[in-house]
Amino acid sequence: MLNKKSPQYIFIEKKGDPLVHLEIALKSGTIKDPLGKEGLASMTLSMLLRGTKKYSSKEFHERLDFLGGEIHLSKFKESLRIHVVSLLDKLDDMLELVRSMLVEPAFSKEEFKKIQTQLKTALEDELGSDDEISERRFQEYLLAGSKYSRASSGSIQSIKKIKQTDLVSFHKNFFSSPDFVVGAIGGFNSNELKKKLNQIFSSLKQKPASALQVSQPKILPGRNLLLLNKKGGSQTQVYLGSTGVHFTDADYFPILIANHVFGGSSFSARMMTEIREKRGWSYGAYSWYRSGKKPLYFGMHFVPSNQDTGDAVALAIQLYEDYAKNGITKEEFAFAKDSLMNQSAFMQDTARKKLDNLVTEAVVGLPKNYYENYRNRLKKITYTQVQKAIQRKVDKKRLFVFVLGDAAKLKKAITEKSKFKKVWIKDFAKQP
Amino acid sequence: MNVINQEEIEFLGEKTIQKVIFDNGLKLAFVKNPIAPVFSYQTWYDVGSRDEEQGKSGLAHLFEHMMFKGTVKNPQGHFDRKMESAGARDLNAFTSTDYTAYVASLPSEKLDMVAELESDRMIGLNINESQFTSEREVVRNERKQRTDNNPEGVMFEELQKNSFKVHSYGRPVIGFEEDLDRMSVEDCKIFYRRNYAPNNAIICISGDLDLSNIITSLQKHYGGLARGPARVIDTIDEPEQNEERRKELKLSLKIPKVYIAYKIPPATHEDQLAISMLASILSSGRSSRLYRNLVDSSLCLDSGCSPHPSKDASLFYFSFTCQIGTSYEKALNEMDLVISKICNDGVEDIELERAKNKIRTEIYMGLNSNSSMAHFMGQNEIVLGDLRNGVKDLTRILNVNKNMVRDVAQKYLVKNRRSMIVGIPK
Repeated sequence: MLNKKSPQYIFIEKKGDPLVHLEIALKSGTIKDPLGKEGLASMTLSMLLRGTKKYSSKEFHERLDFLGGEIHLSKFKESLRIHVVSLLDKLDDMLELVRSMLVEPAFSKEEFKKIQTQLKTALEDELGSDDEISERRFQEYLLAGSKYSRASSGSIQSIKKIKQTDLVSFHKNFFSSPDFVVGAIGGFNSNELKKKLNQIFSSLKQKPASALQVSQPKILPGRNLLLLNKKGGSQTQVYLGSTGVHFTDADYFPILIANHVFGGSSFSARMMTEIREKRGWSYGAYSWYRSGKKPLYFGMHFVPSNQDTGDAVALAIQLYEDYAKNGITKEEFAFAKDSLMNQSAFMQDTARKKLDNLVTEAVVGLPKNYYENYRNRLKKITYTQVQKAIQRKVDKKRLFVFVLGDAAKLKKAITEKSKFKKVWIKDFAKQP
Repeated sequence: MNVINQEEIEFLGEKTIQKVIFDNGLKLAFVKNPIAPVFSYQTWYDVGSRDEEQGKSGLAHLFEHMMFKGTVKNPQGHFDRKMESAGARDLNAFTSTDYTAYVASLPSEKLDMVAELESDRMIGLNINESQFTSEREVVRNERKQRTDNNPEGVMFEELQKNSFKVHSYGRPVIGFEEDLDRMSVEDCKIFYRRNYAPNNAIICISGDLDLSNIITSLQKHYGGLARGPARVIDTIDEPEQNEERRKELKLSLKIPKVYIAYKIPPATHEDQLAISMLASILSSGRSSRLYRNLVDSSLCLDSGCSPHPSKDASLFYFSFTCQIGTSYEKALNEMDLVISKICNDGVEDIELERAKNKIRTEIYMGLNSNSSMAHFMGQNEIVLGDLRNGVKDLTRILNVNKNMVRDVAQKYLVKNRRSMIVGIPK
């Protein structure tokens, strides 16, 4: 009988494999950060590797490294992930470390101070990288007003407001056994592993945390331009954003095919052909959809030289509007469908990917065997469905254009060639 | 095209590598991996930026871009469309100092198609002035993105320049802007004729395929390709470095960063394994010496080191980013103390055992996919001269002892053999 207080387990035994991978996912992510204390979930997660009641931080890492193990932490809007790699012959010792970090983290004040300072430095450091700061700011401005707009790592201001006691509370409230999904792959015995994991998770809170209500982010109506002022570079970072589509929407698979034609990861895509191949304006040019439990956004990105930015933005808008109005051709549809169907073999080409897919299905709440059935779902899509999906889901009324560069010089070059409802200039270093 | 040599090499666990040499000089390395009906197909050419003449920096990399511009049989766009329609993943290419590789992963039934396309562009490339002009613009933008507008890119380029005053390793793989400006489509054609031929390539395959089918397919498509001219490579010895070379650059950074490179011997040198072990002890994991003394002590945001073994004189890189309020001199002083302690006192038994356990994990993790196994074979065949040496190193590294680690630290981590770039906020 399924114990509802246990985590959801997904095990794949692989006899003879000298490694074990554990994917521990908590279905509470960074959108649970309180307003003004963004970065709390991320800090709590990081502190799991900063000492426990049994091991000081130094002892913990000496033990971990001695076992040849690895523990990687990742933070997402809707989940926190812990990826553990262990040599099979050291698995029991590694599980003891995992128990200690999950169940009895020390949250010592000394380590808290250290991590707070390190995070502030890392956020300052990020301001020196055009790639990183533009990606962060694009999402912050595009999704403004939504919990999804807030950066998972927080901001310099919000990190300062977080107290050590906030971390203790976050751990107490959200690290709840039934909210975990635990995947494992390797040469272990499933029954034995389950017993050991049950022992670990029985020490955590047994009542699930309350679900957080979030709504779909709303993109500003009209075609708008935000110039994020950063002087001194010879290139700009250009992003365009619009309304997203949810994983489980009936139009999602048709729109995936459409996007493969428009700007998917293909050298034959329209964006790559027009922006890179024909004109050499950018090393790369892509578009993509982001979805979580809610549809998030549609994005486009390229990095032109300053002198090409006005023309490149105008071209990208023209490509988008033509795509929204006319959709794709039958020939493009056939190519993209074949390409994506054949590529789907790589979604399951390693045992590790199979495990990750199953864990993701459980965490995001996707239909069972979503990835297993990926190819079949693509196979059923018709050209008419794709054209209708483009008409319904490629938003003609909303396009947010975001350019990081020297705003004063760029404003004229961009607005001479494209019309905007509103134009804003903001400082790249300032949090929205 | 006849097989002139075939051998089986023990690899990892029950896996073996089949290495085949054909009479036109083409080599094949294959690992059978039946986990899913897919395979990785990588063509590695024994040519990189190391082989460029002075004033032609960036040619090997720019030419790598031109390899996607079409042949008489498959004009521009056909290669990408055929590969992508077949479901190619990770369709890409990369150029390093020592090699250039063209890589893709495909469903198993597409072997014959990729062999046909790769053999076609090995000798049949058909490029023109207008393709060259637009692709050079793409490379200029790539350079701006990776180097000119990226403070870390600027620092790395300067570090290479400072480390090698004569050797071509001192020039950036992507090329100096002024060299790119001077380059012509004719340079590309000469480079192609000189370096792209079956006897300068190894095809590395890992996946759910059979060796006999691969050999048949390669014979069908590469069988008509003749050997290229024997290449004459002028090796240039870098003069001995006898003083620390330090350069401070004001960049659009918010926090000071330091990149350091110590000279180490070529990849084939017997000290390389002990150097790898030293790097692991210094920087792998949070119990490592650099992490404990620089990061855990709150002097730095991050720190690390890794050797980069190359065909010729190589570099052992160190780097750190200062914590707010820490001067780079203070962090550097601490890093030097860590190094001098290893040079004077050597390492402890437990550190060595830790490093060996970590290396075991890294080997299993690093060779867990078709593309990583194909990469391992190609890189070792070219950089070490024979992939068997790379395979042997996977077990030989576990025989490194404490004395060997201390000895290489004393021999190579010497201040007057290092170059340093300090990135300071403007």
